[in-house]
Amino acid sequence: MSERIKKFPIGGTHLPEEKDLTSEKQIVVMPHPDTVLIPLKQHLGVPVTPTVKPGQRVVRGEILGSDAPGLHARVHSSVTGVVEEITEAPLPDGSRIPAVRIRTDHDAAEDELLLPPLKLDGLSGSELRDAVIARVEEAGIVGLGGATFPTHIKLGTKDPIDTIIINGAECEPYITVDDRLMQEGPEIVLRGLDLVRQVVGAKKGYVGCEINKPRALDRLREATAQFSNLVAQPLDTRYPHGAEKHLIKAILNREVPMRALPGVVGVLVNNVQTAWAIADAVDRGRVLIDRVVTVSGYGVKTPQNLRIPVGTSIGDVIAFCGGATVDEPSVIIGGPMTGMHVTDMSIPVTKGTSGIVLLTAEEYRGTVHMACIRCGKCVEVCPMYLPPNRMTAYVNNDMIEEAVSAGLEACILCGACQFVCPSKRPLLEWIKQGKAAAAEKQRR
Amino acid sequence: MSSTVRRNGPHIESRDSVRRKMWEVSAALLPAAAAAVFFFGPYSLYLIFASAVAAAILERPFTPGGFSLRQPLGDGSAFLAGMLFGLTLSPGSPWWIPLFGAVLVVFVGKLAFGGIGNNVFNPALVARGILLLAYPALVTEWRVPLDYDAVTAATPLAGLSASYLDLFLGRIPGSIGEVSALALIIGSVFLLARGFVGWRISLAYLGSAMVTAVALGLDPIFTILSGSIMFAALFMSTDMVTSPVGRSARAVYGIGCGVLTVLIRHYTQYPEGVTFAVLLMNGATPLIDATVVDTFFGEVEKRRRRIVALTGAAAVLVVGAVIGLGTIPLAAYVGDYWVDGVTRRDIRLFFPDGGYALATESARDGVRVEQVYTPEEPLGYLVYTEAPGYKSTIRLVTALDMDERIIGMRVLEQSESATLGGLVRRPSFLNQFLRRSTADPAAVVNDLQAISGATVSSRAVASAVEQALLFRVAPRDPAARLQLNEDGTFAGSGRGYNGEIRLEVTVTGGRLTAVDILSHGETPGIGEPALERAAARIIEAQSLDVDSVAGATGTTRGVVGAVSDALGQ
Repeated sequence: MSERIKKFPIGGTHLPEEKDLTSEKQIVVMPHPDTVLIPLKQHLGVPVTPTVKPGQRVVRGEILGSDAPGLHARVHSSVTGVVEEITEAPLPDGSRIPAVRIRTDHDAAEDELLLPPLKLDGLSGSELRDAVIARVEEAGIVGLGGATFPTHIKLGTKDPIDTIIINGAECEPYITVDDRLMQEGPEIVLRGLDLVRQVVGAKKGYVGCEINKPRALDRLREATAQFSNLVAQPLDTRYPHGAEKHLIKAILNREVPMRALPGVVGVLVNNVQTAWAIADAVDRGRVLIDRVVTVSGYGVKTPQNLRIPVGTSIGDVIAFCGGATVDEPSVIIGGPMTGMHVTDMSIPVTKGTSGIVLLTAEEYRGTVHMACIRCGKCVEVCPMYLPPNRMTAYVNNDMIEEAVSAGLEACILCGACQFVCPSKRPLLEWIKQGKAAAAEKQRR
Repeated sequence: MSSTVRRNGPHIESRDSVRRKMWEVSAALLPAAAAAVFFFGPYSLYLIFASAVAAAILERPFTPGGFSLRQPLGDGSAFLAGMLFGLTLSPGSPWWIPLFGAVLVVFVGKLAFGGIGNNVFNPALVARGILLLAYPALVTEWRVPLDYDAVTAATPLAGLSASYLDLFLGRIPGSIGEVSALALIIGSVFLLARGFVGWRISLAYLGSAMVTAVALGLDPIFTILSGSIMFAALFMSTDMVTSPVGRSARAVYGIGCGVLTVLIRHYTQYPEGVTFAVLLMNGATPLIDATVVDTFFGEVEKRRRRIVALTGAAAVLVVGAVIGLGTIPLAAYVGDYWVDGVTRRDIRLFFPDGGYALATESARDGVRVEQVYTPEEPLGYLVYTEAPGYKSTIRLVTALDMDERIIGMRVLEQSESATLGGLVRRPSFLNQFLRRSTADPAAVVNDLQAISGATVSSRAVASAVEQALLFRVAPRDPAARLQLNEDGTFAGSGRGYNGEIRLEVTVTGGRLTAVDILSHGETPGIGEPALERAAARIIEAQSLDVDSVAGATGTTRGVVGAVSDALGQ
C-alpha cells in the first residue's frame, strides 16, 4: 500500500539533505552532565516563577516552576541534584532569561519522579479531553518542532477539528530527530496522534513524512496498517514542507487564510516528538525533561542523535560527541536554514532545540553579496508567494509601509529565498530588520 | 557574543551564483551561434564573439575587483549582453560594428545606470536601438543564408515569402542569431532544465503576439517565426535585470511585449518591432512589478475574487471577439487564397476590407500583379515592381483601386544610402504619386519631384511606379512589337464604338512617341477617357496587341485600328 506522494503546489526548493550523517544511528541517551542550566522559559510566553531555592535538593522530574502571569508551560528539573543558584541563561538569539543552575548528583542518576499513568479506559468525550489536557499541562509539554507553543493550550482549541496531522516532514537539512523517532517508535508516535485525535474529536489522522526518509515511512506504513483512520502520508522532498500551513496545503489541499490558525480549516498539527511526549506523559507518566537532538555537520567528530537532558550546555553536548573536527566550526542551534549561529558554548539545550549543527568553513555561507540581478529565483521559491527582492529593497530604503504592503508580515522566515539567491544577498536578515521596524512602528 | 557573527540563517547557500547564471545563458545561445555560422559563414562568429569579448573586457575595470588577467571576462554579464547584441547583427555588418556596439552596451546600456542589476533597459537592445536609428542601412542589410556572397535579400518581414519550415529552421535572410527558431528553442530548453524562470514571459510574449496577429488578420505562425520575435521572446525579453520578477507581472510584461511588437511591425515603418517593443516594456517594468502583484499564500478570498474577475473579463473579450470577427467570413482566413506574408500584409495595409488576393495574368518579368478581392467582389490591385537605384535595386508595391488609380505605396526593399537615397521610403516623397492613374503613366516620371541629392533613387522609384501603372500593357507577344523604320507624323482613322476616330501618331527614333486624338464620337465620361488610355497603352507596349480598357472595348479597338491605319500596318 503506497499513498500518492504529495507536495504543496507553488514555491519551495530542494536543499542539500546531509541526513545520512545521522539517519541510521540509534538514538543515544546522553549521560547527565555535571551541571545543567535550566531556563525558566522554554516555551512561547513568559518565564515561570521559580519554586526552588539555592541549596535545595531536587529530583529528576520535579517541578522548578509552574506559574506565570501569562502564557506558559511548566518547567521541571532534568537531573537529580542540588540547586546552585537562580541565575540567567544565554539564549541563541543573544538575549538572557532567568534560569536555575543545578549540580548533578551522579549517584542518583537513575532516580526519576514519574506521574501515575493515566487510565483512560471508560472515559469519553469531555472527561477524556480534560484528563489528557491536564496531564499535558502537568508534563510541561510544548511544541517540540521549535515553536514551543504550550501544547495544552493548543489542544484546548474551540475550533471544530476534523483532521490531525503529525508533522514529520523534517525539511531542515542535517536534522534527523523525527526520522529516528518514527523509525524507532512509530507505534508511540501513532499513540500520541490517536490521543490528540480523541481529545479534539477529529476523525482522521495523518503523519506527513518526506520521502527522503524511506525507512521511517516504511515503519509508519506498517504501524498504520492496523488503523483505518490513520495514514502515513509520503511527501515530496521540498523545503519548507515542515511549515505548518504548507503541510496542510500539501496533504489536504486546504489553504489556511493569512493571520489565521490551522483550526480555521479544521486541522491541528503537532510535531512528531510532541506526539511522542504526549504518549509518554499519558502512558508512562513522564514529564518533559529531555528531548532528542541531532548533533551533526561535518564539523563534529561523531554526528549522532542524542536524548539530552534539558539544560545541558551545547559545549557539553559537543564534547560528548568527540568535539569539533575543525578549528573554528560555525555552531548552529537548530537547522542550518532557520537556526541561529552562536559562539557562546554555555547556551543550554531547551525544549525547542532540535539540532546542533557544526558547519565547516566550506559548508558555511559566505558573507560577500552582490547587486540583485532580478533573476526571480526568490519569488519562484517563496512558499508564501511573496516578492522577497522587492520587500527587502523597501526595507533597505526605510520604506516600511511599502514593505508591509508588499507582504513583509506574511513572511514565515523560512529562508528559501536567501538560500537560492545567486547574488548571495542576506534577504532574511533584512526581512527580520523590516519586521522589527514594522512592529516598532505599530507600537507607536 | 561577538557582533561580527551573523546570527540569523540560512547558514547554507546554494551553489548558484550570478557568474554561473550569466554563463549558463551565454551557453544557451551557442546553438543560435552555431546556426549563424552554418547559415551565414564564419564571419558571424567574429560578429558574435567580438562584441561579447569586447563588452566583457570593457566593463571589467568598472566591476568590483577591477581588471584581472585571471578573469578577464568578469562575471559574464557584459559578455552575455555583448553576445545578445552580436546575434542581432546582420551578417554583412562591417568589422567595427560589434566593437562599437560593445561600447554602447557597456557604457550606455549598463554603466550609465550604475552597472549590473541597475540598468533599466536591456543593454543589448539599447545598443541595437541606437545603431538602428543612426545607421539603419548597416544593421538592416540582409543576406541570403547558405550563400555567403554579398547577396542582399529582403527579410521575410520586408518582402520575401518563405515556408514555415524554412522559417523554423532558419533558411531565411535575417539577423545572424535570430533566423533559426529551432536553435533558439534548443537553447531555451536547456535554460528551462537549468531552473531559469523566464518561461512565463516567453509564453506570454509568443501567445499574445499570435493573438494580436490574428486580430489584425495576419498569419499568427508566420508572425512568431519571422523576424526576431522568437529571439526576443526567448532571450531578449527574459533578460533578468530588465524584466519583472513576480509571476503575474511576468505574464503581463510578456503580453505587453507581444502586442507592442506586432503593432509596431504592422503600423510603423520599422518592420522590426521587437527592439522598441521590448525597450518600452523594460521601461514599464518597475511599474508592472509594483502594481501587478500576486496574491499571497492564505489570501484565499482575494484570490477567489480575482479569478472571478479575470474569468469574467476573458469571457467578455472572447464573446466580443467572436461577435466582431464573426462578421468576417471564415473564407478570408482559409489558407488557399493567401499568397505570402507580404501580400497578406499589404492587403491589410491598403485594402482594409480585402479578403484575399489572386495573381493576375498581367504579370511579367520584374512585375507581379495581385488582384485583391473581398470574398465577393474585386477591390483593386497590388503591383510589385522594381527598378535599379543608385546602389541597390528598389522594390516597391503599388496599390491601385478598381479605377486603376494609386491609393498607396510602400517601399519593400532598398539599400540606398541612409541619409539620401533611403529617404524615398518616406511618405513625404511617396505621396506625390497618389491618385496617379493608368491613364497617364508617363506623368509619374515627367512630373517627378525628386529628392535633392538623390535624383537617381527618386527616378528609380518613379520608374517603378510607372511600371506599376503600366501593368495592363504587358506585351505578351514580342513579335507583336511595332516595326517602325521611318520617323515623322502620320494621320489615320478607325471605327470606334460610336463613329470614326481620327488621330495623328508621331514616330521618333523608331519609337512610337505620341498619339494625338483629332476627332471622335465616343460617349463623354465612358469612351472619351478610354481614348487616352488606349493610346497610352499602345505607346507603352510599342505594340498594337494591348488589353482593352475596361468597359470600352469598342473604343480601344477603334484607337488600335486608327494607329494601325496611320502606321500602315
